[in-house]
Amino acid sequence: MLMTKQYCYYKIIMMIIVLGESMFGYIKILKPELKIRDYELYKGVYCSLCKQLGKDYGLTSRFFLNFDFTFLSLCLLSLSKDNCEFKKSNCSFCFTKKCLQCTCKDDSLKYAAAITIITSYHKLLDNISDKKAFQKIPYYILSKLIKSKYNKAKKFYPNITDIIENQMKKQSEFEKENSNSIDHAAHLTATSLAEIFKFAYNETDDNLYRFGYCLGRFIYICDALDDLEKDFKEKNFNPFLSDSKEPVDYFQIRLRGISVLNTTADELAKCYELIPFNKYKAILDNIIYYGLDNTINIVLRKEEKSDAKPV
Amino acid sequence: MRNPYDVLGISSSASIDEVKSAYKKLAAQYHSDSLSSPETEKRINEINQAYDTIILTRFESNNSYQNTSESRFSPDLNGVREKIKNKKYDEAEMQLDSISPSQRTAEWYFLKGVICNNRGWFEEAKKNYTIACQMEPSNSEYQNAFNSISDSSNGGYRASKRQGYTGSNSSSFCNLCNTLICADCCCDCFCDDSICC
Repeated sequence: MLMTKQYCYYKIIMMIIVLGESMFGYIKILKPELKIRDYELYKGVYCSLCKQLGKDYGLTSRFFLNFDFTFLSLCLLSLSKDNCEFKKSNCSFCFTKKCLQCTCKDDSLKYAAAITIITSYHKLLDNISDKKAFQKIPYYILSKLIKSKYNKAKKFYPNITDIIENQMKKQSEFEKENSNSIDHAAHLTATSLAEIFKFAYNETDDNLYRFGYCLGRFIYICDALDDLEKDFKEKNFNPFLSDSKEPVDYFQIRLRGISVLNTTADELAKCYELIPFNKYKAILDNIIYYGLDNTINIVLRKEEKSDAKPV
Repeated sequence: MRNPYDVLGISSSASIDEVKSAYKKLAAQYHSDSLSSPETEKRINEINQAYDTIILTRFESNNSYQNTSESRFSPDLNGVREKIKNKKYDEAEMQLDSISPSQRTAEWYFLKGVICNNRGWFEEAKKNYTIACQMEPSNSEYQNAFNSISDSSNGGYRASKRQGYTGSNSSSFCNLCNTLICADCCCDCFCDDSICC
């Protein structure tokens, strides 16, 4: 009985994910520039986060695994004093595959897993309010499915959940104003991410706050640029569209987008160097110096998206 | 690259004076070593780089106006500068906004830009720096801030950290063939065909 119920969940979620767009995943590695051993480690962190999600929130939550929060776990593991070791173990999705698993004692992965659930849930709510009539349904089902998991995550980390909830509420209020300031529009998402980083590290470190801020800003702007055509067609809110006249000048918008994304990524890189990351430097360097650029290229030239499948 | 704070042996909350004194001490120590082994040179380079990184990224907006004489500034904006130095951005902005639009000088726009930049509102910051530069093109303080953010918007900082990656290169063998064929065509103009085809 249980098995069949689980199976139904899988089917529903898989269908929705195939139909719907990817929700996150702008902070990635650039594979050709990474050494194989670092790549294996990165995959290890990815798998560990997946396992952690499964352990804390059940199998269905594993579908919300994404690269942005793999990056978060990587940063947290890098900052943690604990010496993590990796050992090989079985993957629960593929019996023949063995992947590296992190055997870390501290809460880094648990925290990253909770954040994954919390932000995915809010993203779903956001999608529901954006879509029209029938398109709401898949997101509605999904959000109902992870509601209980969201409550569990909230129980683990009530403070950060409250902060994110607050920011999201302000975000939807802001979107009604239809302002064209990108700084304003990105501010709330950016602040959420800044708080996520600050909360994890517990020390009042300005650099870490700014690092998180720039990261959130980067993700928000990428998302806005990625959805440009779709938002125009469906008349959704998009900070890049709100002031332009009828024939939308996509070229000008893209130029503006490149400049804003580059500035944000550059500031991110400057902050990154001042934070005492002491492990996985090669992977983090790769993401900051190569991966972000790759993302900018992909977002701005959408047709290349199919070539750049991650991992 | 190691964390610049570790290189200089200071904590990440060190003030600008502490950074400077730590740098001077280390620099003096390594320069007094008369034996200039490659190891020492590497270390000196590392110290210099660490110092540059910290100063450029953390104190850039502050120290650019610490050196200039304060008497030049209009008196009511000195308070704003003081607040920015102490990281009280909200108070500084409130004070700025209380000045009526007709009395806004180039310095006003520059300070507004500094506040935006510190908050992470880069587009607004760039706009304000641009206005400041237009109003007073000869001021190097405004110009530096503007150049720095313009460089960022081209991704200059990350580009300087990358080593040799140029995206997907076309195969070099293909290039070689192309060059050969071109060269052959040129040759044909002057003398006999060197590649028969």
